Amino acid sequence: MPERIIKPIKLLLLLLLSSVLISAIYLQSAVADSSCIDCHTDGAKLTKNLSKDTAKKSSMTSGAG
Amino acid sequence: MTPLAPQKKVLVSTDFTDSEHGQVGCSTCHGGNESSMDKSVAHKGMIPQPSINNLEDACSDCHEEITQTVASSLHFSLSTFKTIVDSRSDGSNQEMLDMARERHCGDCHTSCGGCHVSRPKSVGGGFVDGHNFNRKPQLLNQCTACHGSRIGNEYIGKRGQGDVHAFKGNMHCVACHEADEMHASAPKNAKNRYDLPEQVRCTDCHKDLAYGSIRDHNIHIGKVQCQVCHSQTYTNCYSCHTGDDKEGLPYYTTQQDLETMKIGLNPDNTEPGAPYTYMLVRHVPADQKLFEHYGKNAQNQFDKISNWKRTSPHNILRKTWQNANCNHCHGNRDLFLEDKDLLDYEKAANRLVVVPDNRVPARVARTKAVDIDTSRVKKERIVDVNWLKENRDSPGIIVVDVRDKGSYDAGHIEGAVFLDPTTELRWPWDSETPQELLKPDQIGDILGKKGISNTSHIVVYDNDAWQAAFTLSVLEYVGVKTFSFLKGGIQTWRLSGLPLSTKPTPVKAATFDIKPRTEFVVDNHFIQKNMDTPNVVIVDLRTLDQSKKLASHPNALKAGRIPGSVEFPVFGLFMDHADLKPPEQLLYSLKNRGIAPDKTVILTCNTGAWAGAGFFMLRYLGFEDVRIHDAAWVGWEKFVRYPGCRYP
Repeated sequence: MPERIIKPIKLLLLLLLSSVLISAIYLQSAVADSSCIDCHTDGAKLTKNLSKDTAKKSSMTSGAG
Repeated sequence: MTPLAPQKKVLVSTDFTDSEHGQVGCSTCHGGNESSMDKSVAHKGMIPQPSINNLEDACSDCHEEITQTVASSLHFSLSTFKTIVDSRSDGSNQEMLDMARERHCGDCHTSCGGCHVSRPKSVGGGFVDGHNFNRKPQLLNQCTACHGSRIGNEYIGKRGQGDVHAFKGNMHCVACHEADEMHASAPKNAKNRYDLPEQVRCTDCHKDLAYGSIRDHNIHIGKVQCQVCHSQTYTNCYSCHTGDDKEGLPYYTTQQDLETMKIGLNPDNTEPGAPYTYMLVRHVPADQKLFEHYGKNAQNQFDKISNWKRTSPHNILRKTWQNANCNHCHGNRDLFLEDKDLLDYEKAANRLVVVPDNRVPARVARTKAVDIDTSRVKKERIVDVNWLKENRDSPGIIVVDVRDKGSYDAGHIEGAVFLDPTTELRWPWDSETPQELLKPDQIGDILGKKGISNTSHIVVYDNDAWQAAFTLSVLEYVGVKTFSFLKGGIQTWRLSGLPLSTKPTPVKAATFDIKPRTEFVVDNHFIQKNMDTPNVVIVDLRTLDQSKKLASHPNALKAGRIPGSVEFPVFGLFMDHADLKPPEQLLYSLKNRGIAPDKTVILTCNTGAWAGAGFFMLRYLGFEDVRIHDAAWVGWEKFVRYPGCRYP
């Protein structure tokens, strides 16, 4: 196949691979963020998950003077 | 401070994700597994307090200079605790002392997050502002959440009148205690915060006082600590003990506290910033048996360090009773620490702080007397426990206990009837006039059913003071002529060794013939009409956090204050445990805020109860024209917001 055809195809493939890679990295961080941020910014979800939690007793709340 | 609900403690604001710190990514500081959506997996290995346990990764990259010193700062290291605890021992039981100190005292330390992100554990923890990082720590949510029972209460008027820097300067903690001081590394073997070179001093702002126009500054500077002349009384704690509770958690508890003021000798006037001879001293609760839970004689050199310590109360006033006249200090033996103020086991430890008779400054022969007229004080409205002991069985004496029902049931003065004035004598919250006083005839009926008649001599007591004083204001409102406040309340009764009863008092209903003094209670229209009337002063008796809009009553639509009102927290009229200052001192304090007996004084607060408490005190002090603004702030703000419609 002539070089003038292969070269653009190579370039296109390179661009495609790069964009896939960049998207993957971006998605990876977005997912990472969502696991913490999605939960901790969602009041309703936190209420559902933590409503049964009671205050953990610590030595600071145990018979303070 | 009300603890946050569990979900609110960890709710992150969406603003945070856009902030500079939000861009860093959660796991950089907190670790954990951020790729998992499963809670337990995501939280595995997580560091809840990264500035304590992961300072290097969490903070140092960006704040290198600060983190170099912060780990050895007083807030982070609590190094002075170790210096002092170790000084009270010969070192033979070091391991045990370290363990005890770490278990009971070590939990209070804090780091970057404790001041810039979260509320402290002592008030339940949680984010202050949705995990947003605040450059300046907040007075209520952070600083005084730890430094609350003494510093915070003094500063905002939950004990005493509050501090001039708060009510006049509207200054928050960080106005004086700047970052340089907070982040500074503590010197090795520092005994207290005063050893910190970066420690703020009064003279940082109030410069060159010795050369100013105030004669007393010229005389006293360098000899007397500023606070001696400019503080109000403060609390002193006694007998801290430690132990483990039923769940094995370490606890500490103090046995007693006492509001007072004592001047002591400065044992080391070579210390930086402390060249003076006389200083205010506060009793710290260090007790010989503090760590006895861990072993006998844990502090085998208790005598080495005093437990009456230099103090700088945060209740500063420009004009105080001490600086009103030379002889309020000079020759006033009671004001100076003496041997009889000490417990037996602490006499040796405090020998250098006690002021011997020959070091109490002599009375000054010629001084100008303070112009306070006490001739109108109604002394009969205050009785002490000795009077009550002698007279409680006399005909016509009715004793009323206004503490909570649990306390009454656990032990009350024999013959006392129980009354809950804030719920029994006021409309409920869900009424059209929430928390306002019932109609006089309704109040008369309730009192009559409890065996209280308006011809009786009614003595009211409380644990603290304001509920008793509020009750007495209601009694005067409905026409009772003879009524008294028990000075010292139930604590003094108990400490005097007088008996308590757990038997409910049989009640024989009486006729209460009301003779209401309706002029004593005024509404919002009266306030509005008189806001600019000369000789009328509206006094806001709430604590300064509320009048300065840092906090609001839970039932108020918003925080705020009636325009033009004078701030004078109600606790400036009382002392701890229902004790009272002498009338001349109270009148002097009021006069300094423009509250004088020749004026019409309207008292307001949140719901009218503190206004009632203040009413009793001002009437006792001889004020003739005092009014209670019953609707108070909760009613006022609705009145202003929805004019013409009382409670929309």
